Amino acid sequence: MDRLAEQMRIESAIEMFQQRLERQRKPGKKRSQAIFTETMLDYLSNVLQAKAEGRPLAMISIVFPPEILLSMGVAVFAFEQYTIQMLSSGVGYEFMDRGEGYGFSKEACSPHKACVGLAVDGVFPEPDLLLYTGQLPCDSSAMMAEVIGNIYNCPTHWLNVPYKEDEEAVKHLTQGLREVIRFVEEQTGLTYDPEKLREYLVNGIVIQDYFLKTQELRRHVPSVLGAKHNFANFGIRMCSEGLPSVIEFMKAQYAECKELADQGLGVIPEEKHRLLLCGVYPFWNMGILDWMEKEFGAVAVVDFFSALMMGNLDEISKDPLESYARKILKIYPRLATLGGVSLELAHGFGKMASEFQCDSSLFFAHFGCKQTCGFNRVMTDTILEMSGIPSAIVDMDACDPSIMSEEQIKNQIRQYFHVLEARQASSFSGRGAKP
Amino acid sequence: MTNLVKEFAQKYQDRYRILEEISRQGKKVIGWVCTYVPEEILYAGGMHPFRIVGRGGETSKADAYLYSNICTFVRSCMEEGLSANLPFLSGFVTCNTCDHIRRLFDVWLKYVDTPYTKLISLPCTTSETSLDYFKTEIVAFKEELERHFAVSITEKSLREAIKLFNQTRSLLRELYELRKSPNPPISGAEVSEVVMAGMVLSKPEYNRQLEALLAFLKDQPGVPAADGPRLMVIGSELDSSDFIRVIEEQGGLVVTDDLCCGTRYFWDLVEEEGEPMEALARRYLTKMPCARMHPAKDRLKRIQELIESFEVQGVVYQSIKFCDLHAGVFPVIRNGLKELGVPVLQLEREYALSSVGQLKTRIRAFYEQLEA
Repeated sequence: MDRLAEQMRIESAIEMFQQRLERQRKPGKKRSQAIFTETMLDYLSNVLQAKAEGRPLAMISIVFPPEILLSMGVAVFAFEQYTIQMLSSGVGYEFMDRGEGYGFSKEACSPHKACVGLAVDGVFPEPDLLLYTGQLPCDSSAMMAEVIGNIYNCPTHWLNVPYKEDEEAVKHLTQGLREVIRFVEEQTGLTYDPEKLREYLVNGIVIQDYFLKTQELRRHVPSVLGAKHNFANFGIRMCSEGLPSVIEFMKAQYAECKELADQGLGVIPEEKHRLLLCGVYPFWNMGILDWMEKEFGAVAVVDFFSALMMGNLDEISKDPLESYARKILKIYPRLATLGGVSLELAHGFGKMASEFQCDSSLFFAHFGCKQTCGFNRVMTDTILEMSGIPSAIVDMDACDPSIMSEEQIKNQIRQYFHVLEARQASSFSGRGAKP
Repeated sequence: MTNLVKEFAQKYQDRYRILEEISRQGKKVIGWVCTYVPEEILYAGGMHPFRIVGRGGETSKADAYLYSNICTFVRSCMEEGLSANLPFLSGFVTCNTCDHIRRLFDVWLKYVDTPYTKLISLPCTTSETSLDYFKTEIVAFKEELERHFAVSITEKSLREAIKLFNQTRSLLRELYELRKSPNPPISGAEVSEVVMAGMVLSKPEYNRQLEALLAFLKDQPGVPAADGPRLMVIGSELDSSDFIRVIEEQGGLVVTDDLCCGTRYFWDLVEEEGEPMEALARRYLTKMPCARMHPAKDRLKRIQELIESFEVQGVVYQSIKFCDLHAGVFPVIRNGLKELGVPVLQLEREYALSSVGQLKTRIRAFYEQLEA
């Protein structure tokens, strides 16, 4: 187990990113990808440096907004995102068993099981604080955090993120953020500076602006950005939102997409299907998304992770915490919509399916995720009702290949496109028409 | 089993007929799913609140709408809705309690034709900030009910409802107090039947029955299983007494619980002196917590208190398959029980009782462990 633990340590991740960066810096590679890797390297190095320098390190959930902590000088470690990233690179599956062996739910989300295993074996750097959110992103994540907090026995603070987006919810979350500040100040002796937070939030407006412009370009036929590279938006923001390097990344990604759009080029040579992707991706094998592009000319133009994050702040209000709360609920990460009535989310997808001229729809049913799997029927029925597009539910697991193998996943997708193409061939011709 | 307990069980079994009759008399029947729904508000509006549960058996209709990783409790509730078994239902109310119940609400909203539906936003912490928010949320719920059903929910009617529901809670606590005795006069399975009936019957009628039962039990000797180990059952939704009966038939006695069909439903009273909506918000948010509330150490403390006051010797920790809340937090609870030196048996189950033989074997082995 020692060797496996070594592979999962931050030092190994840094090495992995450094090697990746060398490849990405070669001529002909996209600049955005190198910036992404540089940003991840900075983030992980900061985690290690914080431990070495005795600065406070906070473990946070994937929806715990990092800006407030970063602005106060607290290093953040989004350990759930980190674990997913490492599992996606093909290492660490054994830690899922370790998590189960410790008594954590065997039906929980696979990366959460691995997180528990990694904490039990002391692979994560020991946190000074644990800041978590409930009921979002999901029960499995929240319970994993309870177990991790119990293992490390470190000061823990829970932030309630309501599922609503109304003014009462904004007011409540603003108060909740004040409690976060009080907790961090008490635990670390660091102080909150509203002007510092404002800087992060102003940067956030620029980040979101580039993000929205890039998403807009995905409307182009052919589309200029697939789901896999688009997902990088989400990962980078979880741990570094508000930093100038994230602006650089978003700016570069937008420029690359714009260049393609201006030339009338798409992300693949021949776009045959414009796909709506919902659910949680097979992170352990994102190559499946590349395969769909190559095999069926299917490019995801609307996807679950991006469709949630619409709109932007006009300005930062006098009390930056109020803007911050508004941003969390209504703009980014805006996952609160998951924890409430999913019919609203489904209507949003149905509308986007038509607007982005989709002709196909896949729902990745990640077996460990009750939150998303539970609305697959509501989602797929609504998409069908609103845009006439039938969906396929693809059974799989986000990080555990033993649930559904690569070939089993591909076979489900293959069958869907074969049926779809046969129907399209027999009943209509032309992109965007309804089967 | 005494005839008095049988009467509770019978009425609970006969609940759809009773609810239909209530509906025929002109009362709006409102189904709720989670014990965080403040029933008093519904009652104060002249409505009849009752807890929606499943009935075990096949869930073929629900299976078509809910993915295979959604728990069988939710699946079974959904089956009742989709099978049109609840024609008397005027409303469906729940909270964003867990991933499964949230999705139950979604599917119910889209595919079951119920005149009024509501998903209450329930915070996961008990801070003053959360309390303010929850109060605002339930005030909005009250106003929505008033508009939708054209009723007036006055401060007076709320106070009356609080008093009545508190009486139920106090009587149930009296019942639980009897179980602290070395020779409790009532078994855990019987208590389960009594408690469940309280979530269906009208409270005045239920309270009268409870008073009669308590008067009767005070002179009764201990139940036969009183010689066995004293147990506590913790975990997921458990509305059927059959599971507890299997535990007790092997020679133990369930003396208390941490269940939403037990203490989590009634243990804490609503403050009767304060402003009613404020009092309701405080009681419901800070009541015996479900695993969905954070931090888990607060819940653990309450469990430890129950263990000590009921002199519990062993804990049966059960979770319905796919319940991330109860199965997920298990290591925290287990570690806390270890501090008290109380052994724990962890069981995974389905909503409906199944694999009884295996269950019996594991329980017997647990008793042997307790005796050693």
